Amino acid sequence: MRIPTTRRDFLLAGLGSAIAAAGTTFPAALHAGAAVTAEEFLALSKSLTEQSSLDPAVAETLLAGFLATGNGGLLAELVAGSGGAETKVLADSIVAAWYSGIYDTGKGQAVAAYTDALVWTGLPYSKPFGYCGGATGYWADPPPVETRG
Amino acid sequence: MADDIAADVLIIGSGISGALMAARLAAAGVKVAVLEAGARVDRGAAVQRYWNALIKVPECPYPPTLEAMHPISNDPDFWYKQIGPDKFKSTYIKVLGGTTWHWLGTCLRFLPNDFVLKATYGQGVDWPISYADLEKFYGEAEKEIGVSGDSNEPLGSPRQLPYPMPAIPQTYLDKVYAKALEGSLYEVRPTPQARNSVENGRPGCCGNASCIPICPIQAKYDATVHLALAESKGAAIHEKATATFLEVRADRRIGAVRFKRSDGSEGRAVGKVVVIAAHAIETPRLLLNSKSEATPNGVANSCDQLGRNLMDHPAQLSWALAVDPVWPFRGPLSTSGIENLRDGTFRSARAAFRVEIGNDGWSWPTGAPVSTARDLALEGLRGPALDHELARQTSRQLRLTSLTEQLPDPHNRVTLDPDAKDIYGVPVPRIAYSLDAYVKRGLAASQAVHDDIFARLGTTAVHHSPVAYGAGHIIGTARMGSDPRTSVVDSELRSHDHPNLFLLGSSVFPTSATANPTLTIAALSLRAVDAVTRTLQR
Repeated sequence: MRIPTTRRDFLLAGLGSAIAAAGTTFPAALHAGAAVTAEEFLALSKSLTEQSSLDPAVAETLLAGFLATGNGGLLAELVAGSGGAETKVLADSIVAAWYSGIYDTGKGQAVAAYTDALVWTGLPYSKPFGYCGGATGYWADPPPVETRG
Repeated sequence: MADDIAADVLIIGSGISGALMAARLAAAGVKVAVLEAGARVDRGAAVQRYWNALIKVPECPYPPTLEAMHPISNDPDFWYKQIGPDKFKSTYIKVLGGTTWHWLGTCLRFLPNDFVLKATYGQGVDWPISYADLEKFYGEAEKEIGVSGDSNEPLGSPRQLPYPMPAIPQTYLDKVYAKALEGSLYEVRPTPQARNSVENGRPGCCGNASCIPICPIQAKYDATVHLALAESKGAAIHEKATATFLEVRADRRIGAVRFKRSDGSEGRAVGKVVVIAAHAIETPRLLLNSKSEATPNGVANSCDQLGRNLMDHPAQLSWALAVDPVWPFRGPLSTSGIENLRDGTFRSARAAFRVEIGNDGWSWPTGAPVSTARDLALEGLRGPALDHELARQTSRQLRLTSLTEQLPDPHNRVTLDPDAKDIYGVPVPRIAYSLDAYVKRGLAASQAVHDDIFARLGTTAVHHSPVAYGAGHIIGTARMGSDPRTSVVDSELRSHDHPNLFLLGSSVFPTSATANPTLTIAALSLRAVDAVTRTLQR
């Protein structure tokens, strides 16, 4: 039975492409206005998702995406706790990115995480597709009560 | 030009039909060579590509390359030159083992009346063989592939032998349907499938829930099983070798197959018997490209039927929310179906269909559960409230798909595009395709059935796709028949025109029936082994 062990490899690859995208698309002015660091984005993400453990590598990938799509200023407002309706929409988008694992690179959508996307925390009765779920036929009965979510 | 590859039997294509033929012949001591346009697949790397893919279509672990181009589900115009009026939406891949890498694994037999649609209902054409002619080979195919099924449930197709493995257990979701539909017209039954219910050298299914596009543990059968058997008995498997042209001798036998390697070099392969097993788009494409003075319409095409009668099982998708949780996403993508709507006098007026019950929630129509999570987050839900709502919604997602029978129509056809060519200089496939009133009436009837079933379950949020999906079943294009004037191959799958040429796969089906085609492809291939062997001995 295969146990997936390639998450790290995948994340590194994703990070690489995000950095490459950022390197070619960032206007310098955006950088200047965007004081949000990876650490700040990670802390913001933990607060918004109400998850204490989030992957810093995924956070860097997502941050690069939000900066590349021109959200640096709004992100800074969000971190500072200021801002209005627009920051609320951005906050929802950050949670959506962590749950779906999908983000906008500025050149289109990409996958930042799949098996580690938060969607699976909301499906405790299942697991990421491509992972074994149990012995043959485990699906014939409802899941144990404690995993029903 | 030197003959780079020489064998008794030369097989073009390494999907299930070619692989079964190769394994059988090699085991009998026949020298076999297989040419495959695509490359070997590393299963672990393919799983990783699936996880990394933004759009998780069946082809996502097996992306097309310039060297081995094939269609992709998310862009029907990517490889096919579609001239309409409707889009042909079913696809295949080019890798060692063929499209069985991402098939669902359903192993239904055709029904006896599927072989006599014209005689019984006045529609389509009759097959040159009967169900009785094929029954023994269905049994052999089930054994070769390793099918799990309920031997006490023939599902309308009488059987001599039991299934080699007990049925894959039905999901809790299946049982919810069965209970709600008890006493109704709809009989919910376990689906016979090429998926291990017990360990048999490959592991038993552990519910990865990713059968399409890939089984990470090979509990689901794929044709690499028989390619490995063939290789162990001495068959030579040549990957990254694309057949481009068949040479015809003065005696009308196939003299050689020209091929090109992915590095650009050219080769020539010879066999006493040549078998084309390249699925229902590439088989006619190769033969149509093999035009010569002796074969002005292409090889095996004196009847002008090659490439015609392209069929699918146009699919009606419907989805809804159950009252209580049904817990999808936990087993194989489908473990039950409704098979008793596949035959009846209604077939004189509209298409029959089978109903597949999905265990995959709204994954196919909407991209759930990922899309569900995204939507809830964008609505502003957070933390435990988001998780709770995500579980509440996804656990109630239901999906039904009906696969309808499409009639053969000579205007639905694959030809060679007059403009575009692949890197080997072979014209790309051009497709003319339309859904007729017969199949549209079947789709409408299936939608009404879905409504009725959902109503009996008390569901809410009922959706019906407004357009038919492709079932991934490519059928027709080299039909079998008794009359050389109206068919490409005879009942043993031998070309009427060329005595040492055989065509395998669903391209030879005269009609589509409603059952997923792979088991019938396999049974026909095993049945053709005898004719190939006799041809060798001549």
